[in-house]
Amino acid sequence: MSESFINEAKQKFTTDLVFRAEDVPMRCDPPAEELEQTLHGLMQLNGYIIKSLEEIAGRGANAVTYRAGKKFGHEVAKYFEKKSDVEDALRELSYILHGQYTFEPWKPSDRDEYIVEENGSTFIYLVFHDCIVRQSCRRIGQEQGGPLCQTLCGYVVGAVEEITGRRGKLEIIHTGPNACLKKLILK
Amino acid sequence: MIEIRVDEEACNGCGLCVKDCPMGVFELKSSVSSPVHPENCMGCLSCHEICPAQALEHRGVVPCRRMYVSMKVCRMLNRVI
Amino acid sequence: MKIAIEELAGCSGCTIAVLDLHEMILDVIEQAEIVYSPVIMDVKEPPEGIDIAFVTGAVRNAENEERLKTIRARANTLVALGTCAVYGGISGLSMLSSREDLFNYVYREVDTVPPDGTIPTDVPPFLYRAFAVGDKVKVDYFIPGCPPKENRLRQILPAMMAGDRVSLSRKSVCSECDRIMGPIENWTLKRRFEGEPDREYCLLGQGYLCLGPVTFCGCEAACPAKNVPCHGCNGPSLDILREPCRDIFNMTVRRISDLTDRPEKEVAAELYDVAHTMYPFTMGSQVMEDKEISKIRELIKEGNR
Repeated sequence: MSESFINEAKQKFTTDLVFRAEDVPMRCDPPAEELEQTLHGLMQLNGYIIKSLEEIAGRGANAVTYRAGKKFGHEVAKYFEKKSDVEDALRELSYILHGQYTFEPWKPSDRDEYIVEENGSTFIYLVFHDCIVRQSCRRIGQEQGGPLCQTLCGYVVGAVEEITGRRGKLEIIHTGPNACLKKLILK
Repeated sequence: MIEIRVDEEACNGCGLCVKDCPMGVFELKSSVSSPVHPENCMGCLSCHEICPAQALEHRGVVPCRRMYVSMKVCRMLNRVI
Repeated sequence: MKIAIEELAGCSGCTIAVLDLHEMILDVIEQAEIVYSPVIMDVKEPPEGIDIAFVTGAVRNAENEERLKTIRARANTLVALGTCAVYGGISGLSMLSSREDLFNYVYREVDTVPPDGTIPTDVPPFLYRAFAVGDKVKVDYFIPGCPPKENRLRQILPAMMAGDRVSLSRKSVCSECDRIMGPIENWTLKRRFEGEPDREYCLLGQGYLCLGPVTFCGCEAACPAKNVPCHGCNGPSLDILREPCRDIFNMTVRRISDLTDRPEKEVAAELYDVAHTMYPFTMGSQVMEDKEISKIRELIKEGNR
């Protein structure tokens, strides 16, 4: 016969801890199991939110997530240096995105230059290695390239606009398990 | 430079990597896949995922973080013989 | 060196698989003493100080759980041997029916029951679900297989006793299969008894439900070599075990869809009896069920209604 849940809970949550407002949080190095619970829980939560958003808003889901990403990008990039040269701007971007979305420049083997000027726009292919969005999609079984990926597109475009002052667009060329190919176009 | 190796014994010539690669790296040669344009590979490893026999090996590809794999599963993966 | 082979909720086939080392067992018992194995020797309790304990069978009732905890405490290294221990296996299939239905059927409806049809109450109670061994205790090694095949065990067991490392293939059954992909036209799903498979070409491409691409290797594709489509008894391939977005059902659908260029919905509509064709060996495993896209939870819910 197991004890009643209420009794067990009341015993478990009894504590003599002295709680001062200025002492919080009690520890600065949470164990990996706890971090993982929070991380995976967040990924799942995000995933279900996006699934439901897609069901209700349809194509509008992409617009919502893009806008969210763009706001984030503008906010984060506000304190970084302003650069007008594309390569310098990419370096600033790599500082901003580092750890969450690491990327590297890429070019097809038959071209000489990474940065291409065409019809007044500048474009460069970027290969994204680490990506929080890809990890979230894979955690909940969503296909890559959906609304969640638009948050990254918005994030990069917003950050690049703050740094260079130029309007931009990030197109998804191919999504993969280990890297995704995107094309950054600056007007 | 990315080097790609195909395990010829494992490969069964299904041609899925040929169809799937966005850069057209592979071609089927007498029922075995062959990487004819490894210089175009961008390391997405979609071919790894689509190969039913896990016959592909890439050298020089930067691995991405995969924290969506829980520690419990990760430990199990390392211990399967 | 002391080794033990514990039997939980299993058919004892995995203990016999160890005996299937044939003459090599003589070398094994020269190096190691089997101190406890209920299937093959009459020792009632595992002693202390076991070096390697092989645990076979899944955890289905309270006795299995208790024995598992006992042997984990008394053994240095615990190896989950066989698909039941690693993934829940066939013992896990019992989750498809409710406890009442199961007990009713076994003790009242089968032909050989005694006429009074009493359901015994003095036996260890069922746990609320089946578990793989790894879901309950820390496991040091996993050797899947139903049972693990001789050739693979011959490479693993002596090395394990000697403390050596082995480097074996960890790919899927397709990598061991000698078939090549044949021409694929007018694909429809064929049952095993329909037509006769062409020995040279891939069974999946011919329309048979071969789980080779989604199954872990180790059997040298024994069934496809004899014209029988793979049933997945070695458990899922490592890419399926790893990725939360992949499981046996959705990967089989995806592979067929990729090969035949048919939309995934059409392919999924042709599949039948998913519980028994796709998940018969992985129902008890919490790792396999924890995936958002896994159908195991709904199948169990349906079955228990």
